[in-house]
Amino acid sequence: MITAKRMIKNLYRDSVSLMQFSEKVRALEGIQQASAVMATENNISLLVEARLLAEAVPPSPNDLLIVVEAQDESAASAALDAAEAMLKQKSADTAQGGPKKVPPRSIEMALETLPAANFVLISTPGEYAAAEAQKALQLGLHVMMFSDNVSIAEEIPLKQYARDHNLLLMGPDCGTAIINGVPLGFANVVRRGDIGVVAASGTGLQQVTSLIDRFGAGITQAIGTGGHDLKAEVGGITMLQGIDALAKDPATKVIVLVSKPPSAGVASNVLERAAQSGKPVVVEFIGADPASFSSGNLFGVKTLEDAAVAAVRLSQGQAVGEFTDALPERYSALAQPARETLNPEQKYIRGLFSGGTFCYETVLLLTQTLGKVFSNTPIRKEDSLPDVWKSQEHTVIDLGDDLFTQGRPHPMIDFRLRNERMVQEAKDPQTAVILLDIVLGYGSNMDPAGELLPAIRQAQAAAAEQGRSVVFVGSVCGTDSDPQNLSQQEKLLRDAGVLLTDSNAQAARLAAAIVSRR
Amino acid sequence: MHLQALSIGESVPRDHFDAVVQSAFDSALNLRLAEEDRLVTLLQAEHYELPQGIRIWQKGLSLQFIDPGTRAALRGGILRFESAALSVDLRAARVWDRRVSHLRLQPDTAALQAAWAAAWQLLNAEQRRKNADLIAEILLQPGARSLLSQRVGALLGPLLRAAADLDAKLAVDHARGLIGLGPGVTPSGDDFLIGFLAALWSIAGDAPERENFLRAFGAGLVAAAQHTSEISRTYLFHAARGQFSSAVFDLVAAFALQGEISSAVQAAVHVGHTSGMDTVTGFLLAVPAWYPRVNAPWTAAGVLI
Repeated sequence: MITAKRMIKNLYRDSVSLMQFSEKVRALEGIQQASAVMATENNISLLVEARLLAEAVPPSPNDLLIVVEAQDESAASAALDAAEAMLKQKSADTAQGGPKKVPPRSIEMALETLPAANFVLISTPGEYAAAEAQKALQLGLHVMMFSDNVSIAEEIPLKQYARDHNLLLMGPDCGTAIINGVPLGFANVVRRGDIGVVAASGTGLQQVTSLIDRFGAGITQAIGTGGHDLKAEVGGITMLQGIDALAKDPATKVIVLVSKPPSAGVASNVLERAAQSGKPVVVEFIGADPASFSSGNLFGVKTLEDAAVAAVRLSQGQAVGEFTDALPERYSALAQPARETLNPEQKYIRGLFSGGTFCYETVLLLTQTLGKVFSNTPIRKEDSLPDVWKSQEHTVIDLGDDLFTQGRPHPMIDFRLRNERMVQEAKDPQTAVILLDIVLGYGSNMDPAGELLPAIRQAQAAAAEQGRSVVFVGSVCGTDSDPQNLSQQEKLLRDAGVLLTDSNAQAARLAAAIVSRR
Repeated sequence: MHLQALSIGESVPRDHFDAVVQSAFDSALNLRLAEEDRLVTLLQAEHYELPQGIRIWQKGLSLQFIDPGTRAALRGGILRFESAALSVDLRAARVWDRRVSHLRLQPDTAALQAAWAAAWQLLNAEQRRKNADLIAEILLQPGARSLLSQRVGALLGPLLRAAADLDAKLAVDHARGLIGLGPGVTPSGDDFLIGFLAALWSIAGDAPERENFLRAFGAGLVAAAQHTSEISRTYLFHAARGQFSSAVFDLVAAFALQGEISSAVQAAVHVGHTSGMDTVTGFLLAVPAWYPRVNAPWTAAGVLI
């Protein structure tokens, strides 16, 4: 090892830059240690003591002294050259001369850049999010809190403050919204129209808005409430505000509400407010009996797809009509040939989901048809999967659960975990159907089919080695205007043999049809 | 571009000076005064106050577009930069002149001791989180982990004793080992001394022997500050006169007025990369110099005079 030094005259960098600079130099090839300090007498003596300087040099306190310990002279020389270049580099903007704007570091600074803004999206770690939301509300801004890990104790006063000041606070843990045609968070590009949505579920909102687009209608606003909003403690503050806002909005003709069943008191308030809106309201309390809250202008439905269909019919001035649990013929026609590819031992569905609400809806529908369905997010406690890493009988897994996402991106973005699990399921001789959701839109993986296809082929190869094949069933949630393009993604998946339906509910029913008559 | 100054520090000449740009950063620009060995600093609005600072009514503007070496002149309260289309009007700016000595800390009160204990805990946690070279509680232990810690630790006890004995000459001798020591454009040792001086100025009260000590100690430090960077020298120049940034003032005020210690410490330690932490270290470790109580939290923490 050798040491080398270079003095840079009258060059000042702030201490954060100097620290980052030292780390960058240390990471260069052949460099063991690096330091950049002001060339004061005390620092020089410290460097000599640390043996980073062979001998003392004359102090020059306004100059920067760079020292490196390197494996050889050429590495040291290259590192010092690189270091000097890094230090002298000015940003392109600054080098061109003239004032340069630095990125805003606070909501207030951002407002100065964009004074007409009235909305802020907060995506900080949860521990900082409530304070930022409070600042934004006090500045008179509507807020979308993408951040999770915000306690209900923090959420309640924020929502009360927002309501009392005629502001909307979406979230915390609000992953999806579409405001004035702008998709926010994980959201799809849908056409504008006359249907407004308020949802306590991100993928629920994505499914309903995407299907409305697929059926030829469009969205005014899609408001996310966050998952805690309809709990008794919070009282559905944001959902009630959302209903009021859409009721007043002249562009909104039909309102859709999506949530898991709220507590009784909250449900009663929400339904009462919806009834008072004076507009047709489609209500999807996923898992609740729709007949129990259908009356007057309220139309209860059983699936996310039915919610979209009902909303489109109402927006077109048609009657809502009846909904059936039966599989449409175009899908039931797919079931028989698929069934014939399976051997008698292959009896079970293995659902691997990236969307929490898709998983929940699937468990509900399969339970009604097939009986017991194991899950990490079961409807009934007794159906809880004992080991989430190993499926048994019919199993439906939410891979977006915290258990699976610690230290890795969400499965809508990172497909590795689901791909590995698909191969694992294909190796199980009892697996008949692997059931998937594929979510497009902003925030999601830019090529889900491209991620899935190699794993599907690998899974089929693993099954083929044991003389079997597995049926893949799924639905793609998205639109042709999404960056990934719905039609292209569907074509790639269909060409690979995946049986696709238009909605998550139909995919669950198709999977059930394949395994239920055996 | 013509900007209004929001505030100016008490030591900034109000009407007339000539200067040259010494250094420029995103949020600050230093001007070397032609007739004095110190700097005046132009600051963005969100920056804390400095006794040598001119805060301008403009956020989000990087000041790096003005090159070092550019000449500047203040005439009639308007600061103009040669060949850089910028002028700053100082005439309506309010003067920032708060002094920590007016806060009169009383370390023998239970409230201050509780605040000290809380601040000590917060400081050490932050230093450990940032993996800082200087960690306050480790300075007090033998066999400190880095050479920098060992140097500061070795000087700390003698410096505190000299301050306790009001021996300014000896205090300067020990402090000289800290001047210009450590990383940063304001080296850690200098930042430590600024915190150290802030504590002594705020505790001194009306005792003339303490004030005499501070003036002599300060004068010695200013002379020794020829061995550190020009930016750091300016901070020491003001600290020797009892003038500090608003970040330091707010910290002392939280102690004196029994304010929210946690947020004051958090704000103070987040100045620069390590500067704020080093300043708070100096502040907390200087408090015991004139109050070496056996049952105080600093004694329990191992600060022995």
